[in-house]
Amino acid sequence: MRVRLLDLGIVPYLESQTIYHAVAHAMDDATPNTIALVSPDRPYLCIGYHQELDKEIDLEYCRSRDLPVLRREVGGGAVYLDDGQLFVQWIFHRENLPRRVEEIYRAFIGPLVETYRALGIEAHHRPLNDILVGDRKIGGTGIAAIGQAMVVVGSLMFDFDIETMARALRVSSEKMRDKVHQSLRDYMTTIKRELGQAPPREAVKSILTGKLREALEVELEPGHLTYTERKTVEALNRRFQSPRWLRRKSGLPPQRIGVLVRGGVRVSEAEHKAPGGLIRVTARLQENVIEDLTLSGDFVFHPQHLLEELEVSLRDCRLSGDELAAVIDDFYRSHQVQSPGVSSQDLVAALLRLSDGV
Amino acid sequence: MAQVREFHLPDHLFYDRKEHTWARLEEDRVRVGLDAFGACAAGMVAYIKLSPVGRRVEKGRAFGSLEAGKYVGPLKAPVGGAIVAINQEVLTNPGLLNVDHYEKGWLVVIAPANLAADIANLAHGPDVRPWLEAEVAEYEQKGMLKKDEERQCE
Repeated sequence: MRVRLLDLGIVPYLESQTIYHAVAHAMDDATPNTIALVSPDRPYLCIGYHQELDKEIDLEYCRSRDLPVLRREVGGGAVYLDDGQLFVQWIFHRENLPRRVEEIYRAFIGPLVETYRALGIEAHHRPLNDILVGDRKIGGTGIAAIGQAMVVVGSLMFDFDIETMARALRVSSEKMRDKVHQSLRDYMTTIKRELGQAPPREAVKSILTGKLREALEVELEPGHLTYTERKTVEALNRRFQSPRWLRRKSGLPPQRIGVLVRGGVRVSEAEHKAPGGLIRVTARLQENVIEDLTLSGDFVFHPQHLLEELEVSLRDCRLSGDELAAVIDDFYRSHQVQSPGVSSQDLVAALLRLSDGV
Repeated sequence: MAQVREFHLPDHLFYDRKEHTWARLEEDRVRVGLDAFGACAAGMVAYIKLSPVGRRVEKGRAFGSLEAGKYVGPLKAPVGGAIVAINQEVLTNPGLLNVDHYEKGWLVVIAPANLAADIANLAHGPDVRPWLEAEVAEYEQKGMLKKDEERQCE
């Protein structure tokens, strides 16, 4: 097996996406398996193949910050990308990678984990596709079958702008945005955060290429894009900037998963209309257990200051009707809560909506 | 019925050997889905997008796409023709593709344009078992399928 290494350094942001797509689209039997290492020359947002632009991104904010948005052919959710990340992109013949998606992730993530470890960061692979340090995520990964190729993408996370990521996503309320922001702080990390400062990029690349050689048991052959690939990049640059591509409809409901912070951790918001008013619940869930919760809306809850106490009481509760009802009923009894037109069952109904689609 | 390891492929269906889609002949229509091997390879399917009824699709070209665990891949037609029905149930419950590959997990129905030619190179009947055995053996040999004791797709 031959593997070509495209160490392209900083590239125009658009081409940090279109290059690997182009290698995949142009792949024929003579194309070597390819690993590309790139970083974008400016920040941008990137949405998943099946997402809808308007539903995922706060376009007004992006316009005000001059942040472009692209759509990739790889799955997953909207992400903020900039030169704080070294993108690692595999474009391989399908028959040179495992058949099962789970095993492809294992092959791809191994060298990234080993690179972090060589830097002194105790990273590990959390299946399906997360790289964690402790319980914090350090970079995401994704896969797509494109033409003859299987494409696997991920990154080494030197630094990350949590504020811009949280601000640029379209969310249903500012409470939701606050929770997303806090959750990214709690559940994401970077090389800089772990080590105090990021080591030189070239030194990290050298470690990474060594780990890739060991894992793949091949020499990486430095190379460049072919003429055909270059022409395909140009064609894809046009397509990726076209409104038709960017605004294509998919029908994937954005609230189906809320905002996935990392595998198993999700921020969601749901509403329930009770006779006494609207109940809105905003929560961070870990494996469907409430980690953090905010209750709001226009219903009456007396004494008002106990609402926060109820939120605390519901932490660590599983999203199960019986468990939630037991906690809420007990809270109502012991605190003599009055909420006209809003029963404990209404609160349970609102909370259960957080699990829609899980 | 061809059964190799956890994968069972009914031998009355026709299979695209590369894409692992199946085709079932139903009078003048062809019902299409993803076989057990293909569904296992993708993992738990989270989202399916299908081309609308009326759209013409060529054999080997995509009639939709699926997303599973941040993997996105095309669904390619084993026969060409016009799509005359799509499975709304699998769109709202994509997991059907993983648990009921050949009945509730079907994807589209195609009115074939050139059926005899299109099915000629699909695996069928007595061809299914040897093809599946060879496919599984190849992936086991390359370490691309987990060993017996670690199976996860049953």
